[in-house]
Amino acid sequence: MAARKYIYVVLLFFLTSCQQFEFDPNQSVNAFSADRLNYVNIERIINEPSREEMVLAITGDSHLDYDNLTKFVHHVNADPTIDFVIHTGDLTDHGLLKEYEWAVSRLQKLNKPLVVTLGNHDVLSLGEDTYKHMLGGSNFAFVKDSVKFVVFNSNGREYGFKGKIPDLGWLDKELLLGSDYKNVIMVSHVPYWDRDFDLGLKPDYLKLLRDVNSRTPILAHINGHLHMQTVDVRPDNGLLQILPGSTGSRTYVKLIIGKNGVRYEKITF
Amino acid sequence: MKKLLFSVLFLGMLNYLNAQQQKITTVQYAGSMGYLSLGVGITNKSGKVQHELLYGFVPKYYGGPLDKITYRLTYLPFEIKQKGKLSWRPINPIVFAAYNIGNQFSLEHSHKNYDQDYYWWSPALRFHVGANTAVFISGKKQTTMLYLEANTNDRYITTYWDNTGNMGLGDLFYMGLGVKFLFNE
Repeated sequence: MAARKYIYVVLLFFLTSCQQFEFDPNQSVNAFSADRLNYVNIERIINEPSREEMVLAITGDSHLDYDNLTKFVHHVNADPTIDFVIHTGDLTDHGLLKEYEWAVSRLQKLNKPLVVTLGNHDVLSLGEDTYKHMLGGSNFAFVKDSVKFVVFNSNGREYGFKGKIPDLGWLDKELLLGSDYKNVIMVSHVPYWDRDFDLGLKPDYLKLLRDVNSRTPILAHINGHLHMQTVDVRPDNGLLQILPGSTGSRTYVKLIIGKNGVRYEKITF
Repeated sequence: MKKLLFSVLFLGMLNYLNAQQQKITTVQYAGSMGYLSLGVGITNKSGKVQHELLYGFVPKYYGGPLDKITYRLTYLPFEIKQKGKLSWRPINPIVFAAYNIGNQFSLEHSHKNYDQDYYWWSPALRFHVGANTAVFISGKKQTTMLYLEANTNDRYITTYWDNTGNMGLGDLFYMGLGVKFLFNE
């Protein structure tokens, strides 16, 4: 009875693979997607006991290069000095749910916490809804060992350069709040000198950086988007600027925050 | 471009209207064309080719709200007769084009915001290929077709192609199931 066997196979397949039922490639969520991973990971970062030095692995622009994303995960897992990982955005190419799932499932193999920034590709289609659901809000901040990490959406072009992204009001409030930190690290996807940044907001943003830096020194200003690995001091504001390079170029940057300031290592894997 | 696309599809459908065929009514769950989709269609003279136009929707709770129009071509190459009224068509290739209607999706990314080729792909239009397996139950006035269908699309194929070895077939193919009623004229 070939037919009966066939029906059993089909039924078995049906029962074991509900995850395979897709409603639309553009659907923003499904019942199986991860739930606000950034928040979960921030809890982990905060609750980890402090060490002499805090070490960050900074990567970004992984797009659809899962071979190199997997290699990155293995490389970072083999380095016990790293405390947590920052992804500077562009986790996806088209902002599709499946692309989020493919990237996140690989990054969940990291043996340390991970924080993901919203990139310009990640907001395409219903990508921003997917990001909100799987990772969390697009602007967020946390304090670890007196360093305040401020992670925000700087993808001005995707919002039509309407003077709302980055949300300077939110940044202003967040960087005035609290007295539990002495230093600041700024993380966003599009750097402020790039043409995809809302250049109308650039003067106000630079003023904000100056104000913050005079109160609570900014240890590093971290971006992605440009797919190149450079670490240098910006001539216009004297801040340490970090671009980790893309996962595809098989580079990342290790930032080591000690009692006497920061150092960095450019890593090729 | 939108108008042209729909005109071509419409003319393709009209072309078959004069030939002797069966009319199709479709209800489908998932299968990348909506949470639920409803369609109408026709077969060719031999019944081996089906054309359908479907409307599908995804409610907010399931990752929407999304509305989608799909044109699907199904080819049914051979059948295996079972007992009595039952027959099984084990593998039937499909192709479909699916278009998200609504303001949040467009055929091309806006040239107001982006240079040509900044984002080169279409957010609204996807091309899918796949196959279904179907059981046919023949009745007096109608034949009922129950099917389970797997499909993938242009974006998933290129991603899979770039990551062979790192992705499995489960990352590529997604399922849907449905029923079609084929009415004999």
